[in-house]
Amino acid sequence: MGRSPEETRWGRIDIILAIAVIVGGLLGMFQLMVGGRGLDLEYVQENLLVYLSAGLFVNLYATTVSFAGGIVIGFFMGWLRSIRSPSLKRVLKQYGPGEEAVGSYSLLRLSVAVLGLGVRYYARRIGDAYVEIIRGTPLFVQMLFVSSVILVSFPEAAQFPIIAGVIALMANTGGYQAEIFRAGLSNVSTGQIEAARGLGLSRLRAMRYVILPQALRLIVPPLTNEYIGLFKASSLLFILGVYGEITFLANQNAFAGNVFEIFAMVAVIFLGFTAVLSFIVRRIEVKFRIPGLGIQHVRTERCEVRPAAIRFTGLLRCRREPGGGSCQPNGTGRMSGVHLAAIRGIRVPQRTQRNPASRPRDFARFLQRGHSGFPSFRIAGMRASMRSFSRFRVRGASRTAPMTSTRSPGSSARTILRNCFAGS
Amino acid sequence: MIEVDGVHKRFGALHVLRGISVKVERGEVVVVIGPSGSGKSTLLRTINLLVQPDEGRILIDGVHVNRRDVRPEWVRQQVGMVFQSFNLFTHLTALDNVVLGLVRVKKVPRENAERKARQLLARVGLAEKERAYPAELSGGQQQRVAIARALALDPKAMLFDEPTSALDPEYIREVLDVMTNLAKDGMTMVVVSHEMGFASSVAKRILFMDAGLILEEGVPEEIFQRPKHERTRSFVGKILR
Repeated sequence: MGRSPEETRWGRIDIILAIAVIVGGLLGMFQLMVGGRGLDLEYVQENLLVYLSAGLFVNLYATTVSFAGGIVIGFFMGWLRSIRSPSLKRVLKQYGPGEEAVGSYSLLRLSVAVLGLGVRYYARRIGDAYVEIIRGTPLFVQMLFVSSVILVSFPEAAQFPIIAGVIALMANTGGYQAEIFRAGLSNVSTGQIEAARGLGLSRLRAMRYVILPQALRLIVPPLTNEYIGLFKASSLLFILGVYGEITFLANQNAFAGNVFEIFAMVAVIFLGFTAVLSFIVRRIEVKFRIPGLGIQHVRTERCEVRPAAIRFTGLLRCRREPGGGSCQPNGTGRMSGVHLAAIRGIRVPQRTQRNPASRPRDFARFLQRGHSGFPSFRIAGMRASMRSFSRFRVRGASRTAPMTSTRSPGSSARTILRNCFAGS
Repeated sequence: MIEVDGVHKRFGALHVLRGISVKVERGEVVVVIGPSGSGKSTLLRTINLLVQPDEGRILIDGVHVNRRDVRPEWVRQQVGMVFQSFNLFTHLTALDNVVLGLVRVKKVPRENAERKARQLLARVGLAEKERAYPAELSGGQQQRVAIARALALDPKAMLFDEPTSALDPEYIREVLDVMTNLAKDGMTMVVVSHEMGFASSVAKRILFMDAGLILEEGVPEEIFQRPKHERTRSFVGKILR
């Protein structure tokens, strides 16, 4: 849906208001917690490295170890959950002594079939129960449970609370990853499995060489999500008293009084790390992308001009008419009533268009005068070479003429830029 | 070569195959036609045990294969299969699609496997596409890669499950050409297809299936021009029109 300029302007005001509220809120908090005493930058300078090295190391280590274990748990639980089994009724019909029985009936065959069915059924149910229990209880409680069980059975483990913490995190992320894996595995089409089996690959090999490589590519984004979530959840390790854990340090030092500085620092460290991680994963995703599999990245046209440069120069260029009309600076007789009115400074109601042009992505835009489309002062200064900013290149006079004749010697050089600017 | 003897298959209440018996000689090309839902695909799938028959016997080269002590994986190596929807492995290049079976099933060293895969891709006319992923190939090219993939394991026979019906008309020719050459080289083939040109020029026999039974079989001229059975007549009349 397109929005009218009026709406857009209000939308922009909304955004400004939202930013104002957020910044104001942050400033208010700052005022409340730091107040007149001023920011204790010295403390931050002194302790940043301690937090970064010790804290990040412990958190990162715990997260990565439990995530790796979680992948194993998640894969098998997800696999169990995607097992399908026929109903007991059907098995009894097929292998029982009834009319619909297939082949010769024997008690052995029947019991083997029923046993197989039972194993499959309970395997799936075990997976279901695991996921439900993990999802349905707080991580905090899970940690306390695991920790108490370990402390009771191995009292010497009390020296290393991180062991209990990692196990709890592992079990937790395993439950969530089971769902991710289940989604990934069931998204590989049956045709692929059939082809793999038809080639003579065993069930396990088909999983290893055909299904898993495809499923893994599909689930990279949700797995990244899970890793980031787990990384933040690792701050809960402080309740087990894991020394060196970042929030543990923060809690210890918070008594000194620099609460705002400490927790702002912790927040920034977490934020910085997750931002770096998302960036890396995105690069990996692009690198290992395979055409036709998983998320398809939109291919942008190659530009001679760097995109940032275009966006900045966008400040200087004439805006495209929001109605999607094309600009024909000195095209003869192609200027619509709206344009002419704009030049004369008259307001003419805009005709609504069903599919307005997409907006160029500028960092800043000219304010618009009502519905006039172009700011008139720019129209006056426009050159013929800007014709190419129009959304529909073959509009106007040149549409009737053959393309070759409308091409000037330099036009091919301009086409590169034209595509970039057109942006559609 | 392939012998199907009194095979029954049920999917729940659905009785898909009701006692099918076919014999395919070495080097023979048999085309199976019939309305949708008549069990053609299921018949092909039972031959390489992608579908286990409930009753009856499947013999390949005289070996009774649908027994407990015969690994279905072994059977599938003997009989290559080509699917309607190609089913190329999306995450592998054309070359790797062909190589996978050789390396992982036949345990051929990677280098030899690649050499053989290149030969096969050249045979289906796609030597220069070995680095392309399936999504980058046209339907006809994908199907030809799929044929090369099935041929890689040196099967004794090939099964084609409507290999051209998911293709745009312009690509059908190239796939049929590959299949015709294959037949000329003496490959035993069972083809489910409604390509009448291919059936009458290449097939030695035509089977007409309806509702899980083989209603009629004979040489192409017989089936297409003088069908005996009423159902055959109306079906052939529809597809020839």
